[in-house]
Amino acid sequence: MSEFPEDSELIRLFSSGDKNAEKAFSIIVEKYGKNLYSQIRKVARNHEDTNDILQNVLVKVYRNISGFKEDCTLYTWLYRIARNETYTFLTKENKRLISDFDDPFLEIAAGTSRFEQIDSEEISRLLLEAIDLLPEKQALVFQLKFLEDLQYNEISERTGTSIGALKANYHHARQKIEEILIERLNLLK
Amino acid sequence: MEENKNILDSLLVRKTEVPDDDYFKSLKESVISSEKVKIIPFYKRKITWIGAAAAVLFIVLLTNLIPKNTEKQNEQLFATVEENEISDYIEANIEEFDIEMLAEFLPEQISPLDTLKREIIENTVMEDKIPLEEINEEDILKYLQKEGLEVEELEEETFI
Repeated sequence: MSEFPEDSELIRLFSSGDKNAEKAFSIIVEKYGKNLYSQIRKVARNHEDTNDILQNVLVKVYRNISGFKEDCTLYTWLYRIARNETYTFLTKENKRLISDFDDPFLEIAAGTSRFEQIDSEEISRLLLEAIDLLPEKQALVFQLKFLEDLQYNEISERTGTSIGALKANYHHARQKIEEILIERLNLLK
Repeated sequence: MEENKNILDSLLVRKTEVPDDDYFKSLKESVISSEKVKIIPFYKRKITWIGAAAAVLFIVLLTNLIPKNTEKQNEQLFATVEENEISDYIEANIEEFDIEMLAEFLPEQISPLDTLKREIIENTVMEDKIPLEEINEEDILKYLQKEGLEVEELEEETFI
């Protein structure tokens, strides 16, 4: 059972203003901050940029949460803001095409010969580009399942989607990413 | 066979290093304090726009009042000008005045014909009273000018 209040409760608390808004915001950061950081960090590639982006995201959340219409789950909304803010930031800083990862988030498994031409940085970049091409829902599910290694019930709670639908989303996402990676890897040969 | 294995299965995801709780606590506090102390730019304040609207309204009302006062002032100024100053001015600039326009400003009871008659009578009376030799050259020139005649033209006619 989650130690945090339900998202709807958090939104209601925030809307009552002043100290309650601060309390609600604190809980949101505590509940989702690490996931947002992890999500952003994989794309932003270093801590400094991740910090700047996350700050922008949290400011946007603080200013706009009163207007959140609850047409999706709070986490889906946060994910969307983080995704958009990350790309806006990197585009503005002209950093989208640079693959200078502090720490590539992917490693090629030992004994794999098909990646002879590329290294961890390159495959990390290719995977991010492939995720970019997915519809938002599939990208979110893929990120949470493949990259964050969450269980389906946890993802279901965050996205408000049934486990069956999540499995279907994930399956389609994997297929598309495989196709894109094969195409890109062939181009590199 | 490796070829049958999916690409994604050949990849291992490294756990992303996430900062500790203190980082998120200070991040959260900095966002809250920056939003609380946010300075609202002048142009975004309602009072600025209300004040501007009131100022515009005031200026519009003031502008509508001014022309009436100015017109009255102008009338008063014109009333202080002497008649002889007016006629001197008209005489000096007669060519620039449109005759029709001048006729508009004549009092209704005096027709242009009456004025002309009066002039002729005055001139005739003058001739009876003052011998020709005693008429001032200047007066003659003025009269000729008034009649729109140039001295040079008359001299030419005389010679012809």
